[in-house]
Amino acid sequence: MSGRAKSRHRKVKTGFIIRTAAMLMLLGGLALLFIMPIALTITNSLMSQTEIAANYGKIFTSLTGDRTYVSDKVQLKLIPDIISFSQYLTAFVKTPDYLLKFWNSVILVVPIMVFQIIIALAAAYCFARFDSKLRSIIFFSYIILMLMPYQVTLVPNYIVAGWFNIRDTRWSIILPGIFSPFAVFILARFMRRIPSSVYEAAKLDGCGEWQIFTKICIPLCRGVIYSVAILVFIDYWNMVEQPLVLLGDDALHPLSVFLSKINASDAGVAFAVAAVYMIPPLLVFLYSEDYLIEGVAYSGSIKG
Amino acid sequence: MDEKAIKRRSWVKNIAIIFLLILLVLTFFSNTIQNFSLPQVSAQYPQSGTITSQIRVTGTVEAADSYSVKLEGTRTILSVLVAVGDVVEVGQELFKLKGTESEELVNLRKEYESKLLTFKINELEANDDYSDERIAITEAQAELSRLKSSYGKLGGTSEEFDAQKKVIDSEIKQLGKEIDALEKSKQGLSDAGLKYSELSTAERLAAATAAYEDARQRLTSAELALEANEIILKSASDEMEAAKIRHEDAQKAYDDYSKNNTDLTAPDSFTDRYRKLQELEKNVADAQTAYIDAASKAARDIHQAELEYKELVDGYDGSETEAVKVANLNAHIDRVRGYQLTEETARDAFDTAVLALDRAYQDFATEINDYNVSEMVKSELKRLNGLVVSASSALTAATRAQDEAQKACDESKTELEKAKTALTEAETTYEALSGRSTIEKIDAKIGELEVNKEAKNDQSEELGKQITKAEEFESKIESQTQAVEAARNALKKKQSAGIVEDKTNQLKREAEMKALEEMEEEIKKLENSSVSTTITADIAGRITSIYCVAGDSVNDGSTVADIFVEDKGYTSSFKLTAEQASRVRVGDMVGVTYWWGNTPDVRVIRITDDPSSGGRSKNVTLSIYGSDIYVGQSMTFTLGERGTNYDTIVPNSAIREDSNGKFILIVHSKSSPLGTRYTARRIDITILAADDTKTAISGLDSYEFVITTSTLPISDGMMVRLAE
Repeated sequence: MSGRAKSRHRKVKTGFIIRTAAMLMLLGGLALLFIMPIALTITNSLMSQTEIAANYGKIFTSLTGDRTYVSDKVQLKLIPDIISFSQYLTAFVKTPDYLLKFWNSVILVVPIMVFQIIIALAAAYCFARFDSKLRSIIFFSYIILMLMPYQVTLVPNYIVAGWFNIRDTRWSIILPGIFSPFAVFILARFMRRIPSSVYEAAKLDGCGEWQIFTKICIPLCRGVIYSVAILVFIDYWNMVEQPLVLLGDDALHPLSVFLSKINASDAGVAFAVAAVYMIPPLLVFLYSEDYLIEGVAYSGSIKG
Repeated sequence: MDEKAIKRRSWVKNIAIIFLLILLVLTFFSNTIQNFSLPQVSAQYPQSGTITSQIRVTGTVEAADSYSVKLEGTRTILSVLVAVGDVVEVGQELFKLKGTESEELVNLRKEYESKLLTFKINELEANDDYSDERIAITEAQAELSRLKSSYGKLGGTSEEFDAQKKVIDSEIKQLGKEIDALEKSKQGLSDAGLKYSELSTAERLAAATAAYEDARQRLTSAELALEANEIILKSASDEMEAAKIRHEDAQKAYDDYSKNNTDLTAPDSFTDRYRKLQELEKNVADAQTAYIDAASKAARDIHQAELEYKELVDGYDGSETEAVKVANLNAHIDRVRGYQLTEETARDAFDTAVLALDRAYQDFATEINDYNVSEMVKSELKRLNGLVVSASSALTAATRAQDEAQKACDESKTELEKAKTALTEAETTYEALSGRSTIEKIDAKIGELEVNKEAKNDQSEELGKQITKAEEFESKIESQTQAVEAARNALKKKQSAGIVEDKTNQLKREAEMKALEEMEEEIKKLENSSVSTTITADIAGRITSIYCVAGDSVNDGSTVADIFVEDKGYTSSFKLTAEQASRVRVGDMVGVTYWWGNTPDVRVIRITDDPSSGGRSKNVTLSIYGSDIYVGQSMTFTLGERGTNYDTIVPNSAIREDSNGKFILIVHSKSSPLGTRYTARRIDITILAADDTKTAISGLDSYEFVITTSTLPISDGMMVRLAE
C-alpha cells in the first residue's frame, strides 16, 4: 500500500475510533442515565435505616423525629457505607405484609395474562379469518378502546363492577383485564399475515376450524403470544390506579400500590421491596426475550 | 444460538422457580418467623370492681398533750430523779432542789421593806387638813348605822305593817258580818218561836215543814221560769241583730243606688211633648194631604193647559204673527211653571212637616227612654225603700221582743230572789223547830266570834303603832343619810378647793399601798415555794424531755421537763395537696403500714388550710392511740376514701402516658390468609380512680382486650403476639 493510502487509511481509522468513542460515550451516558434508578434502588436497598435517614431525611422530614442524623442535602449514594440486609429482613421476614402484597400482584397478573391471551387468541382468529362489515366495525371499536387511556374507562368500570357486585374483589380487576383489547389487536394484526393458503391447505387436509386454530394458528403465533404475554405482564404488574379505586381493602392491594405510597418510615423498606419487585418482570423478560424480539421483528415470512 | 437461548431460558426458569419457592416458603412461614421478633404481650379484659384511692404519707409522732414542768424561782438542781421515757404519777418527785431561799425571794423582801419605809415616811409627811370633815362624816355615818340598826329591830317596813293591818281589818269586818248574820238568825228563830207559839210542837213542825216545801217549790218554778226567759231573751237578741243587719244592708243598697242614679230624672213636660208630637203628626198629615191635592191639581192644570195649548196651536190658521205665537207660548209656559211651582211649594211644605215630625219623634224617643229609665229607677228605689222599711219594722219588732224578754228575765230573777229568801226563812224556821239549832248555841257562837274580833282589834291597834314607829325611823334615816351626804360634799368641796398635789399624793399613796399588798402576796408565795426542796409532777404521764442535769442553776420560769399525758394519745401532722385532702374527712380511720404488733387506732381529727401554700395544700392532723408508740417515731399512714364501684378497671401496668395524655393499648386482631394478626391499638382514656394495683378508667368498652405488659416497648399500630 502506498504512503498516501496508508495515511488515508490511518486517518479513516482514527476518525472511526473517535466517532466510535464519542458515540460510545454518549450512548453509555444515556444508558447510565436509564440504569441509574435501578442501580440506586438496588444499592440503597443494601443500606441501613440510619444511612437512608441521613441521605434522604431532608425529603421525608418526619423520618427521624429528631433522633437521628439528617444531612443538610439529599445525597444519592450508589455505594453504601455498610452493606446491610436489614431492609430485606424487615420487608420479608419481620413484616410479611409485603410478601402477601407480592402474591396479590401475582394473583392478579397471572390470571389476567393467561386468560387475556386465551380470549385474545380466539377473538383475533375470528377477526383474522372471517371478514364482514360487522367485523370491521367491532375491530375499529376495539382500536378506539385500546387507544383510550385507562383513566377514561375507570369510572365506567367502577360502575359496572358495582352492578355485578364485584367491587372490592379481585374480579373487578381481573375481568376487565381479561377482556382488554390490546392483545386482540396485536394478535389479530399478526394472524392476518398468515396467508390464507395455509388455512386452505389445512382444510384440504381435513382440519376443522378448531384444529386449524389450535394446530396451525397458535403455533405460528407463538412468538407474538410471548410478546403479548410479556407486555401484558409488565402492564398489569405495574398497575396502580385500578387497585386503588376498585379494591377498598388494603389487604388485596398489590405491591405496586405500596410502592406508590411510600412515606417517610418506609423509604428503606421500599428500596428492598422495589428490588425484589423488579425480579419477576426481569425473569419474564429474560425467559421470553427471544420470543419478544421474534414477535416484534416478525415480517410475515412463513417457513415452508 | 438456539442452544444458548435454550440454556438461558432454562436457568431463567430455574431462577424463577427458586425465587418463587423462596417467596412461597417465606410467605407460609412468615407468621412463624415474624412472631419470633414480635413483642409478646399479656392482656386481659377489663373488670368491674371497687377501687379505694389511697394516699400514703409519712409523719412523725408527736405528743397530743404535753405538760411542761417549770421552776418557780431561780434554784439549783441537786439531782434528777427521773429519766426520759419514765412513767410518773401525780405528786411523784422529779427533781431535788437545793434548800435555800431563792434570790427572787431575798430581793423581793428587800424591795418590800424599802418601799414600806418610804410609804410610812410619806404618810407622816402628808399634810391632811380634812380631819374635822372626816370626823363629821364618821359621826354621821355612825348615827346612820345606829338608826338603821334600830329600824331593823322593828321587824319590817311601814308598808309591810300596813298590809298586815289591812288584812286584819278585813278579818274584823268579816267577823262583824258573821256576828250580824247570827244575830239575825237568832231573831228569826225567836220570831219563829213567837209565830208558832199557839200551836203544839208537832203542829208547829208540820207547818214549818209545809212552808219549807212550798218555798222550795216556788224556788224551783222560779228557776225554771228564769231559764226559759233567758232562752227567749237570747233568741230575741239574735233576731234583733239579724234584723239590724238586714236593715243596714237595705239602707246601704238604697243609698248606693240612689247615689249612682241621681242624674236620671223624669222629664217635666212629657205630656206636653207628647201633645206637641201629636200636633206635628197632624201637621204632617195635613201637609201630605195638601201636597197630594196640590200635586193632583197641578197635574190636572198642566194637562188642561197642554190641551188648551194644543187647541190653540191647532187653531192657528196662519194669520197669527210670530209675536202672537211666542206670546201664547210664553203664556203657556208661565202657566205650566206656575202650576209646577204650586206643586213644589206644597212638596216643600210637606218635606218640612216631615222633617219637623222626625225631629219631634227623635226627641220624644229620647224622652221616652229617659222616662222609662227614670221610672225604672223610681220603681227600684221604691222597692229598696220598701225593703228598708220592712227591715226597719222587723228590727223594731225584734227590739221590742228582746225588751220584753229582758223584762221577763228580770222579773224571773226577782221572783227567784224572793223564793230564795222565803226558802232561807223557812229553812231557818224548820231547823229551829226541828232542833238542829238553838238560840243558846247561836249565843255561844256569837260570843266566840266577839272574842276573836276583840283580839283582832288589839292586833290592829298594835300594827298601827308599829306603822307609826317605822315611819318615824324611815324619816330619820332619810334625814341622816342626807346629813352624811352633806358632810361628804363638804369634804369634797374643801378638798377640791385645795391644791392638786393633795389628790396626787392621795393617789400615789393608794397605789403604793396596792403595790405593797401585791409584794406581800408574792413574798408569801415565794416563801411557800422556797420551803419546798423538790419538784413534783403535777400530772401523770410519761417523761418525754428533761432539760437540766444535777448541778444546773435554773432560772425562774424555765422548763425543766416535759411530761406527755398518755390519756390524750399522740398526734401526727403532715401536708396533703388540696385534691388529696378533698378525699379525706375528719373522723376517717387511717391505716398504718409497715407496722408490727397491735395496730394503733389512728383517725383524722383536723384538716386545716395551709396559709403558706396559698390554698394548694392543707394540714392534716391525726390522732394516734396505741401501745409501743413514742414521740419522734416515724410512721407511714395510708388514708383512703371509701371504695367506689367502677365498671372498667384495668391493672396499673396497662396505663400509659405520653404528651397527648393517658392511653391504653388494646389488642386488635385481624384475620389474614396466613392466620390471625394482632396489632396494638391506642385508646385514649380518662382515669376515674386508682389505687396501688388497679385503675378505673372511662373511654373503653368492656370487651376490649387490654395489653397489660409486654416483653418489648410497643406503640400504637405495632404488631404483637399474645403470651402463651
